[in-house]
Amino acid sequence: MRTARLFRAIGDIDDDLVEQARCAGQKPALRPRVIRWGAAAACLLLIIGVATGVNISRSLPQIQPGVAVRVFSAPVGPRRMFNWNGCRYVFVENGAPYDFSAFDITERLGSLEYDMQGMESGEAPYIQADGATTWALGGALYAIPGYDSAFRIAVEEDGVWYMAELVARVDDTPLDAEYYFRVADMKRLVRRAELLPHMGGESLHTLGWRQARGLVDILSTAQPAKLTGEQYQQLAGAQSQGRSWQLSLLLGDGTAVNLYVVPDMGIVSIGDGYYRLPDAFAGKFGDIFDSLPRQAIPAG
Amino acid sequence: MEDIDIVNLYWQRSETAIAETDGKYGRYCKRIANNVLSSAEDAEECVSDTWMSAWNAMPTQRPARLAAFLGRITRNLALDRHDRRTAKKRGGNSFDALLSELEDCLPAPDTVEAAADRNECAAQISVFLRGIDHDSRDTFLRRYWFADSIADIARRFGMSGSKVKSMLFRTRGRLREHLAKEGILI
Repeated sequence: MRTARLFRAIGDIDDDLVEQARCAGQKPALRPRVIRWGAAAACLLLIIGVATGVNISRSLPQIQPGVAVRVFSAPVGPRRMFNWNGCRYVFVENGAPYDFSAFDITERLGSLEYDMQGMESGEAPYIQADGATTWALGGALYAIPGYDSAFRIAVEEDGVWYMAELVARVDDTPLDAEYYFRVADMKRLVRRAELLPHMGGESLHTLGWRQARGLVDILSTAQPAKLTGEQYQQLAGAQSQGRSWQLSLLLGDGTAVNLYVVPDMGIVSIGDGYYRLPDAFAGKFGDIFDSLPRQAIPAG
Repeated sequence: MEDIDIVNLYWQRSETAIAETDGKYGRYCKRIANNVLSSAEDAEECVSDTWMSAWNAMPTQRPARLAAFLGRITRNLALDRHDRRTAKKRGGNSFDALLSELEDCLPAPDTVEAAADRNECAAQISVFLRGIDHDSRDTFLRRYWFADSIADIARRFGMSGSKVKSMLFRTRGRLREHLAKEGILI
């Protein structure tokens, strides 16, 4: 029977194609179960300048998940992150629980076996070890159907599920921007982009689907930037003076990935890395950023 | 447990290999088998056979992508079981409908020069799939590799069933043209 022979032949195609199709597919939106933030805590976060990827001005139950990116500032408490497959992942929304019941999660990737914080007291071997974590020790890592595990991973600990996203390589070699956006499947998933003040707040400008995809194309060509101490200070100044903007890429699954752009320094942060904005960025989007109001962060 | 660790268990001839495999890939393989056989009981047996085949294959094989390796075994075993079943009684289940769709991909015998072996055919299908867009490729493979139903594919990709069908129809036509052009006779 020729069709059966063809079916068998299809079965012998290259493994990578099978793997892609196995993980392919857009699933229903991921929704945080319950995220309760006290107003005081929110204010505190704003004041001390923790960029968590969360749009803190929106009504709290509607907070969208996003990449937790630290820019020029220190987190409150240990950063919630772990190592897997040579890369560093950060718990989205600093470890907010997620409901994955709509997903057929079966593929276990590994577990969080080592306490990464232990390395600070001299157990250095764990800092770069796969499975080393600062949080949810003992948790299990799972692939999320429809997502590349290189970018996004589900973590289960004591029956509670969390989501983590790629931010860096463990050895601190820079991630390639093209790789980052590719494993995030950004061109397919992005629906629009919002430009916000660095610390979040009201959207200042919206880029539609086509523009957002064009922006991803351009940012994919960004090259890693090696910043000097002076440049780090300039970035901090740009942040406080309202010259740094949050670029929130809103995905079709209801989640968001947040980047930070400082156009006048030609810098964009992607994950934990800094990159030079490609020349094409200024040509296509420079006017938009020029027209945005600058909102300096109040001192104190 | 990481795939590489599971494979190592097989190579060490540790019986926990099968338990670990079942824990990680049991549902995945069962779904493929059930898609072909439309029978939970048969699918269960097929998955058990898959673990035995994997046990026999490792060593000497050391698959780089365990999911694809196991899925392929399940798929072939399910098809064997389907063939045996239909030899006794002509089919008519959803998988037979899937197979009949594949008629669209078959070049007419007089348009090709020689029969291709399965490896050559698979290689050409891989070439073809790499040349088409992601959505068409993934939709095609969800249907004809994983044997998903049209409804499941529509749900997975957030599109209508009719759109899935029309995408599959176009892709089958393009595959037929590709195979004919490359002289592949199934």
